[in-house]
Amino acid sequence: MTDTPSRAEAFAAKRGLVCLLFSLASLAFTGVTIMALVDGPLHPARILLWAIWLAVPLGWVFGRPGGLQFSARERAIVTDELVQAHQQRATRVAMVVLSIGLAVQAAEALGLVLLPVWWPVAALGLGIASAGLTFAISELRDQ
Amino acid sequence: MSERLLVMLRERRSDAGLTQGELADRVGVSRKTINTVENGVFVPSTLLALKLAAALDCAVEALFALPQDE
Repeated sequence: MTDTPSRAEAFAAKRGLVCLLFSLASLAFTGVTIMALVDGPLHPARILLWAIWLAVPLGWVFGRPGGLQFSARERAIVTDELVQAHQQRATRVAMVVLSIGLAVQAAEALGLVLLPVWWPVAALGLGIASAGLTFAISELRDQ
Repeated sequence: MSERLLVMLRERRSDAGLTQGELADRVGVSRKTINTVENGVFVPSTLLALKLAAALDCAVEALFALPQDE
């Protein structure tokens, strides 16, 4: 046996919790962004900050971590087939949420409903956060 | 078609005197993956099943089987 995978095991153990925290933070910042949008047009810096908060949980869910510190064997362990199954589940949930958001948006384009100005922000934020939360819950449940 | 799968991995691993971590190290996955396979939560790919069988020096059928009553 080798000690090499221990770092990968430690990373795999904390990944679910980190994803959960970042997904909740992403959701919270989406809420803050919506409140700001209700008050008036968004400053570009705020949009950038929101985009960063969306990118961080996505990176933790779908990224292949350890490029600079893990060996190829360790990287394979932290993205083994169980993790890939969790990533696929997260993708499915995100696609469902985003598709619903897009369908409602399309209904507005057809004049069937009238949506608030913050709808696209909410739909995108919720879609990405749902991917992060699904992945985090799957990882933590299988711990 | 039945989705149930009988998993005898835990018994075979214990017979071989290996911990989950040691078996995971041999086949190149995380300990968590071995744990979920043993508990029937996760059905491994053919590739991983073959690696597990090779690591435990047994046939795949000794690790996984379909229920006979189906």
